[in-house]
Amino acid sequence: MTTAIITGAARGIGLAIASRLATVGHHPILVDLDPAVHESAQTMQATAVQADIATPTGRAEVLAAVRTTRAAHGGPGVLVNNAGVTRDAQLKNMTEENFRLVLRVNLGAAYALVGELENEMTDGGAIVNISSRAQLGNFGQFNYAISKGGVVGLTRGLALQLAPRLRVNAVAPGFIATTMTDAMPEPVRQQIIAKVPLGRAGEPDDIADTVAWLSSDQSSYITGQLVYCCGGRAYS
Amino acid sequence: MIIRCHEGELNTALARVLSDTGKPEDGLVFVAAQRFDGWQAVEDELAEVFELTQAAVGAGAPVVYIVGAHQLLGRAAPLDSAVAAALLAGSRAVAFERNKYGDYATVVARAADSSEDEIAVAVDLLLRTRGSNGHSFVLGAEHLGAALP
Repeated sequence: MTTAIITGAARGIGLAIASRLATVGHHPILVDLDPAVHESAQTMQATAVQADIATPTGRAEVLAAVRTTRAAHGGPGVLVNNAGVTRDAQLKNMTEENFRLVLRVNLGAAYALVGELENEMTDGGAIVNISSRAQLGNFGQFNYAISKGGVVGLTRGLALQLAPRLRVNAVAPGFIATTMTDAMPEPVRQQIIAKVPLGRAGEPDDIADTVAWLSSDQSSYITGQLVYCCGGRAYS
Repeated sequence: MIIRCHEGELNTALARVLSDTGKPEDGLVFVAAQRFDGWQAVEDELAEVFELTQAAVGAGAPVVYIVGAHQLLGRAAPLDSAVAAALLAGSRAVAFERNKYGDYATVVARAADSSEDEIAVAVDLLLRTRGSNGHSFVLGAEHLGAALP
């Protein structure tokens, strides 16, 4: 197998993705700003990189980890751009600072990391970018929607540019149960879930399974695609 | 209306059909730039979108973004494609958030076989009818058979 780099992997969806990729034999490199990334990596005997991938220094640390682990675990066959932030506000109250921050982390860092790693990746490798169902429109998320819509466009452009050597796809999670959504008032949670045709919140493992499939040879004829993993909410 | 367009012929065609008052309360037509030379140029372009959109929407005025259909499809440099898809998502976000106020935002995806005059007429029609609110409106036949969003 190969190494698999997962950004935003200290907790939640990113951690579930790393864990899932470990179970199918990849050596995960967990990347996150959060110091909890070290403990998370230990649970699956993975490599941890505590770094800010929105900076050149942070991306250099990821590249160094890739080169360090190459001899023992092979080159990177999978890159999952999952790291993201939100700074929600109605458009009229949104600041340019928070607009730029969300854009830089969610879209700019993904673009830059692909640039750093594409030549390091093994032939036949897969890049999976995490977008969001919110790119279809969501209240108070102009910045987030723009960034995650940008991820979709980036995915299509990269898919055509990097084919046939690498595949590039995207996953758009809907309402996923995480510590953040657990903190919502229960009536609000239920209101959101009522709009999901499959009648439940998604689990981080739902996203992890989708990413694992898109990273595997089972999806070897698929590139440039966006997969909504949202219980049907994108069409309801 | 504010028309932000770096292409001479298209700017002329848009100004002929629309009233370029320079006032955000009359609306915004934003033509996406192309061939970005790096991330900073993309961030600055989208920050300008943010600033102009916030002003127009704050005044209750309509917003139209114009992008290349080839960019939306990914038949362009990755950063160009990212900007086009970002603007589509931005129009959706505005339309969704401001729906209860009757506000309007759309994207015109133009193919290479659509003329500047046709683009201007389409923008005028969309502003009058408020069609394709929060969705893309595709001009031209160049990408028939492709999976345009």
